[in-house]
Amino acid sequence: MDNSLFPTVPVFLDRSSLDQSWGFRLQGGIDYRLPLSIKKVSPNTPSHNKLYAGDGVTAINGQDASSMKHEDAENLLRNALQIQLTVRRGQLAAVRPSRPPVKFGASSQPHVNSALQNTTTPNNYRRF
Amino acid sequence: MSAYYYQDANGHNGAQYQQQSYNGGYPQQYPVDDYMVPEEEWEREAVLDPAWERQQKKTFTAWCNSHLRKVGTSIENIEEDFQNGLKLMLLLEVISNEQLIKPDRGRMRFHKIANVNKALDFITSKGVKLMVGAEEIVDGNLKMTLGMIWTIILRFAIQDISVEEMSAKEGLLLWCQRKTAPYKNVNVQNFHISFKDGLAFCALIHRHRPDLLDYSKLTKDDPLGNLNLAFDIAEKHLDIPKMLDAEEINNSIKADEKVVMTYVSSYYHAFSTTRKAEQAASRICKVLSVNQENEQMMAEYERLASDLLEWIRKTKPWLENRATDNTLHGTQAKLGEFRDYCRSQKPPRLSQKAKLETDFNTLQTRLRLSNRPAFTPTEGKLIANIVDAWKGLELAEKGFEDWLLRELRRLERLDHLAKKFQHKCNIHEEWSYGKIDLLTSSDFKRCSLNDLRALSRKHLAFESDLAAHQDRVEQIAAIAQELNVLGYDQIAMVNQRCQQICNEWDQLGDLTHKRRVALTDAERIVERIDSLFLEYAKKASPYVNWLDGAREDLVDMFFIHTLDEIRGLIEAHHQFKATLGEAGAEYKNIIRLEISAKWNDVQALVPQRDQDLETEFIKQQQNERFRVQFAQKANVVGPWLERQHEQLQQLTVQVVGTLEQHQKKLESMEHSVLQYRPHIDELEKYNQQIQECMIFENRHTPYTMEVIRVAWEQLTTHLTKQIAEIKNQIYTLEKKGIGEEQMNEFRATFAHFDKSRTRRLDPKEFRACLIACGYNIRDDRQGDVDFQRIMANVDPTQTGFVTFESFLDFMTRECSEEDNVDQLTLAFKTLAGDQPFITAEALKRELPIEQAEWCLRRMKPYVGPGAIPGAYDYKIFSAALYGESDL
Repeated sequence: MDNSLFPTVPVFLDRSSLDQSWGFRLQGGIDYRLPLSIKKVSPNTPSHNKLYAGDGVTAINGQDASSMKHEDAENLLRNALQIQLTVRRGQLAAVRPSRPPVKFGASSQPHVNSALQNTTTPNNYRRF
Repeated sequence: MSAYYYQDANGHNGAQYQQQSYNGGYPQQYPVDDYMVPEEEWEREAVLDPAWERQQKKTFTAWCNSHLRKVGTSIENIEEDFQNGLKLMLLLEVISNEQLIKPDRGRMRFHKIANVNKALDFITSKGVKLMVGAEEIVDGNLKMTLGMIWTIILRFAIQDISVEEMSAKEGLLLWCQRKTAPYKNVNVQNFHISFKDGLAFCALIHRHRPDLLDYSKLTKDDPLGNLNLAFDIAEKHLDIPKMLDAEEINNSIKADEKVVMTYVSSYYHAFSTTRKAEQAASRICKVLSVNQENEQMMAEYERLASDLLEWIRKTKPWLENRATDNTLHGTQAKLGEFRDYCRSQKPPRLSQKAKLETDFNTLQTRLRLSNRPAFTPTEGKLIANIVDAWKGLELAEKGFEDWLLRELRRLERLDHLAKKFQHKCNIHEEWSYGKIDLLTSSDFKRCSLNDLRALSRKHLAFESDLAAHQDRVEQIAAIAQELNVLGYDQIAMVNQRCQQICNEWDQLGDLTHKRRVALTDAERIVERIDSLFLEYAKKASPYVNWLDGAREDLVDMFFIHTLDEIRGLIEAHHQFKATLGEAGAEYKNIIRLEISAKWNDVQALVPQRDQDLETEFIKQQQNERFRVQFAQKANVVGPWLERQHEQLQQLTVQVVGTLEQHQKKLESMEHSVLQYRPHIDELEKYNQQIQECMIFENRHTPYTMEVIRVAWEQLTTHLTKQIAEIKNQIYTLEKKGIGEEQMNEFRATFAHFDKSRTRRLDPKEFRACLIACGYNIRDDRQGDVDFQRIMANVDPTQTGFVTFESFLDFMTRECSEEDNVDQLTLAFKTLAGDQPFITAEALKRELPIEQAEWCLRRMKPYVGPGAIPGAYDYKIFSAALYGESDL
């Protein structure tokens, strides 16, 4: 994947004690099929004005986050007083269509029902 | 709705909206708004009825405390505790759920006045015209304070009960009337009389919570009892503190309607809260039940997988075992076991395997659609593992069956050969018995010429006999050889006997020669030839030999498999019988005792042979009938299965009509297929008959039982899979909240750009697809940035491709932007009485017991301000349910 157009920025956060919350909500992870990202940020917190809702987290303390499970990422963040996040701004910002979609006539071809099938179990059978 | 009349404290009657100035002095200056009426009323009174003042004080204090307790404070003396304005401001914050301006900190009078003014300003800002001044409150004027509190109650607790655009009071009354309508002994017309006997309160409670009291036991005759009962229950179970005094209410001619309204309004809010709580509880249950179902499915998958793998592990060695007792009977028994296995053990296991696969797919779909992490079975129980193990099993099965059939054929032939060997050996040994002795006897030494000549001739005959026997011995040796090749288990004995016979034969040959020489020598001395005897001997021996051969052949075992073979034998037999006639003729010429004995034997054996052949013929006929029976059935079942396969294939490739219709079609097909099962069973029965008769070929049909069995299994498995697939699709649509038409559009769009038909798009194809869907992806750097951003979302694990599922998720994610976590948290907050934590009791009270316990197992204890022991954090729990965490 060519990400040269989509640069990442480092974000440093620190807090005075483990009781103080960072102030953001983390979502995603490889087990949730969503990129690790920031869902929302609360004001008057260490992450206020440093992180924004929709930011994608590509690395935590230098560790690549693209194949991290949610729980692992959570643990890394909970138990630290200082963290360095590598962030892709606005990665999950919703992009909306600006025009109505083109309709592809379903009548010209049969409904490819198999498109929705799980690819790991092929649907073949033996004729006798 | 009829208007109602009320009597004011001074006994004036008046309809609503009309007010008389009876307290002299104060003109009616203000526009008459609905809820303003009562306020004006009290303002004009110089003196409040002492009873009512007492009631109001008690009730209003209780009401204020029911709210102040939420912020951990309370009042005791209503005219004193509000003097500095602080608790007043707190009260307003609690009941309005809004933040007031910060109060002034200070003990001076002007501080107090300022704070009270802040409170009064807030009330005014809510659209209430107040007639009370801050000083009066600060000075502790009871009447004014009560009046102000009543205004607050009216505005914040009762005004919202606007039912069909009436005044708050009317609305509240109407609500009471509606709720108590089913109760015949309750008649709510007003607030100061109708509630006195307590039945109205009880009816209100019973209407919403019939579990809390037994209304049928109550009567008008015990007003005190009714009132106290209602107040007790409301306090204990509805969290409404006692605000009224039962005796006061009962004893007064007319109760103060304000206090009654205040208390009744609490009931209104309690039951609407119950409604809110019910809604919150059902929302929570819906979310939880999805999770619970998923967890159950995961556990069930693991259990089924273990079970199946264990069974495969146990069964495979049995199928790979090649130990044999080398008997036909034992091997046939093994084949029988195998058939049993195929018929009764395997089919349920096959369904189990199919169920595992479909369950796995269904589970993954459900998990994906409820934003839960994908399911990874424990190691060794992945679908791939199961498929592998199953393949291994089927391989072992095939090997086992092939081996069994080979063994049966081998053993059968061995059986036949062994019998033949024994028989031939017996006959030979019978013949050769005593020959050696004869050959070694020196009976010729003292013979006359005639005798010598006889002996010599005899010997010659014997030599012919021997020669004629040669191929018989060779046959024996040949059979022994074949037995060796076929691995006969008693081959040692066979070889030994054969060796014996061969040795003996050699010996015989040797001895014969020696005797010949001896006799010739003797003859040379004694010259005698009886030509007749010689001729006789020459004639007799082949004849005898023929008889022996005939006798042996007549009892020869036959190894028959087809009708043609048996016909051939019968033909040969008939021919033989024909020759008997000729032989009989010859027999008359050559009559000797032994020949006659042998002839009788042959004669006796012929009918026996006739019978044997006849029996075999019947048997072969029956076999043929079995073949035909099987073939006829198979030729019906086979094509039927083929047609079903085709039909199903059609249904797989194309969905015609709505998904629900398609599902019904599949299900009705499944039903009719299952109903066909008895035909398959019948075919199995025919097949069993065939196998028991050791029939191996059937040229009347191209279908074998195995082929049909496999086709049947495939058909049922395929059907199950398709039905599950359709169900998943319907479920997907439901969850995504999109219709079938839209889904088909998505599919058509995706398929259009999937040029390579790989069911996934590469970035170029996907980019074009997005543009077609109306996304503005420009052909420049900004467009590239936008595209990469979308790509990172759609393909988070960077496989480089976009599958249809990811595409669908992306397109429909926009549709459901609601914040599930916040909604769930709110639901819990409602159940927790607005507190930031929830207790086990609250969970068990509001949710069904299994859901409550499920939550308790997973919730973490609450740590934070106001934490009490036994408090659970529902915020973290709710977030975790959706894969989010607050950090």
